[in-house]
Amino acid sequence: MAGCPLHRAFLFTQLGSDFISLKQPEPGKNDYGIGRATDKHAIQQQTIFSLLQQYNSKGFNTYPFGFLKTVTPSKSDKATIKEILERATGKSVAELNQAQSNLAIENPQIDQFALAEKFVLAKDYTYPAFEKDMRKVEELIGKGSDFSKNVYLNQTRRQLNYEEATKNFQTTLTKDRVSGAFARMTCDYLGLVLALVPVFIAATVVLRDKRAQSQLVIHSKRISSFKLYGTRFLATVLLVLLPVILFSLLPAIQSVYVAQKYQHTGDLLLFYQYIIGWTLPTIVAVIGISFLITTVFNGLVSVIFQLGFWLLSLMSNGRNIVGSVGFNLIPRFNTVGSREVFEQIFSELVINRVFWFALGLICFLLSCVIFDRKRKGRMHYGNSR
Amino acid sequence: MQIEINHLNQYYGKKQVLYDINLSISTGMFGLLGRNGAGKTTLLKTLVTLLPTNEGEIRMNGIDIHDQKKIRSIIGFLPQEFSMYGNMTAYQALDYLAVLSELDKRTRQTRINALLEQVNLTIHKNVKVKAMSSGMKRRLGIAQALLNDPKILVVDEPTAGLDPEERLRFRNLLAEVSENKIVLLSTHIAGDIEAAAENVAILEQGRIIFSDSIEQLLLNAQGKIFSVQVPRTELNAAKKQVQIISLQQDGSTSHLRFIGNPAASIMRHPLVIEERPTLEDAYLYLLSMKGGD
Repeated sequence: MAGCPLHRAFLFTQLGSDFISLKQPEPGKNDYGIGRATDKHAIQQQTIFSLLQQYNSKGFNTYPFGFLKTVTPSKSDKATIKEILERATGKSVAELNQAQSNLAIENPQIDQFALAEKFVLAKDYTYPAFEKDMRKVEELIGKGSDFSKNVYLNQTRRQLNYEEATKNFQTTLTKDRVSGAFARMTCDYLGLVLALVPVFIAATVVLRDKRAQSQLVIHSKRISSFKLYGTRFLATVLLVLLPVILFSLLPAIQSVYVAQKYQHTGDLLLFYQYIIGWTLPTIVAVIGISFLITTVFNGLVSVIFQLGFWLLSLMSNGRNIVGSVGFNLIPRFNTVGSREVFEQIFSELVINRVFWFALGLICFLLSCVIFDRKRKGRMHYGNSR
Repeated sequence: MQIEINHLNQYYGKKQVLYDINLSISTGMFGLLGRNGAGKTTLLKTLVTLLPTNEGEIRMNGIDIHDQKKIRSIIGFLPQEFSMYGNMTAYQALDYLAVLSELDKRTRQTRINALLEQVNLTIHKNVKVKAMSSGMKRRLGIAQALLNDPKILVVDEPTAGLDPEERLRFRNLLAEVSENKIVLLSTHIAGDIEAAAENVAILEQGRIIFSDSIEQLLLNAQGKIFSVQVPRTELNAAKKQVQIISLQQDGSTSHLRFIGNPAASIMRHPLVIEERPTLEDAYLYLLSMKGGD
């Protein structure tokens, strides 16, 4: 199967490094990783800091369709952005830049994240005012920038301390039993591949009779159209699912090993509940849609369609690759851990998965109806009055 | 056992391709003869439920054509273009098609082995379809058409593309399997029908122009078929006067077999001989009478 080496290569290259990153936090370290910030002040601080950085640079970065586009605002727009900066901080842009330079001189090792944490906002700069200003900035430079609401809410970060890092680690061990955390990461990577690769297999299955010149013989056999298509659909789903289960064994075993290392027990059943629950709807959706389109058009249109849909799905997530769900075919969770984020999006994820599973089945059933009409000559072989 | 076709009209879109077809076919081999494009394949596809019947009535062994599942369980079909998945062996291909015919495992095993024997493919049962010759594929095709022990076997142009030896072997095979069944054999090669069929229908431009026994068809052509030997230099003149059925060159002499034309001067040639018509002669004679070429 075309997808097997792809799955294997993808998993082996992507998951090895994350296995290494799951370590118990040690006291007295400088860096305990970064977590998502929900504090409004932190959000304002980092976003206005980023606004200053981009104001000083050649242009503003936007990702309207997932690809970088640098926007250079007009003089008047830039003046408006300058006003926003000065209102938010109570200082002129020149003063702000001077303050940043002074900090950098005092502490040459300081990074951007630390600089943002030391960035001072005006005391009377309220959150509603901040939201209004960011809407204005988005209006001026376009969608997909760091100043769009969904971006600054999801991408604001903060340094974790030892206690927080330890709490996250313990949650991964106890609630996720390590396997759950590994499974989410595995599903994230698998989802990227499974949203595209099965279309090739499904289209090949549907077109096989035509290519083998066996259509007339097969169509004149007694078996019902639903049974014929149903068995092929099921076989295609299994053909894709079985390698997924097989190649997930590596991260599954890794998760058990890591859990044992910290005197806990991994959970293979939990791991595979994630794998099946997360990936099967994607597989069913892609194969169902491919069956439908290929049956209608009799060619490889479904491949082109799915390629376009896959790209759109990838770009729709934007730069949020942890906890981005909605109705996207490819929900993202590209991290080991972050259980609290998973708990927040869980119901959304369930709705998402049920939706795509149901859509896949509906498309498959429609393909059976169309195939049956073609088999009886009511579509492909010519119309009868 | 009977196939009854009454007032069948068939269309592709707005174009009518079959006009008021009426046929009654009984047990044994029945030939459906006609030129390419006459409508034979359309008629066969209608009978095997691959085309819908919206005008007219068809009953096969008492079953209405609209009862597709029942019809498909009593028919076997060998289309003109037949193949199977290239990587399957002969046995696997038959097994797969037997599953689609909803045969149980035991029946499949027994029947497949018997059919492979009957079509002389037993020693080739592990040969992949893509490695088979045309003759082998055609024999495989007949075997799959017989999987469900059909009461009605529909065969479309079975010998097209086969060498003479294979063609003869196939005709004998068809004759063998036509016992206690209706075998509807569609072809543009009269020789395919001559050996085993009793009755024949001739289709021309979507219409039945003849439907009776082969004996009657031959009788109609009695006294109409002639042969003569002429110098090669007179060949062109002869062609302009009569319809040539066949032509054999022998050095500077041409042996012509032709349909007689009372007005043609060649009829008064001293070497003209009246010939006993073959099926092909009779078929061509009929077509010429109906205005064909």
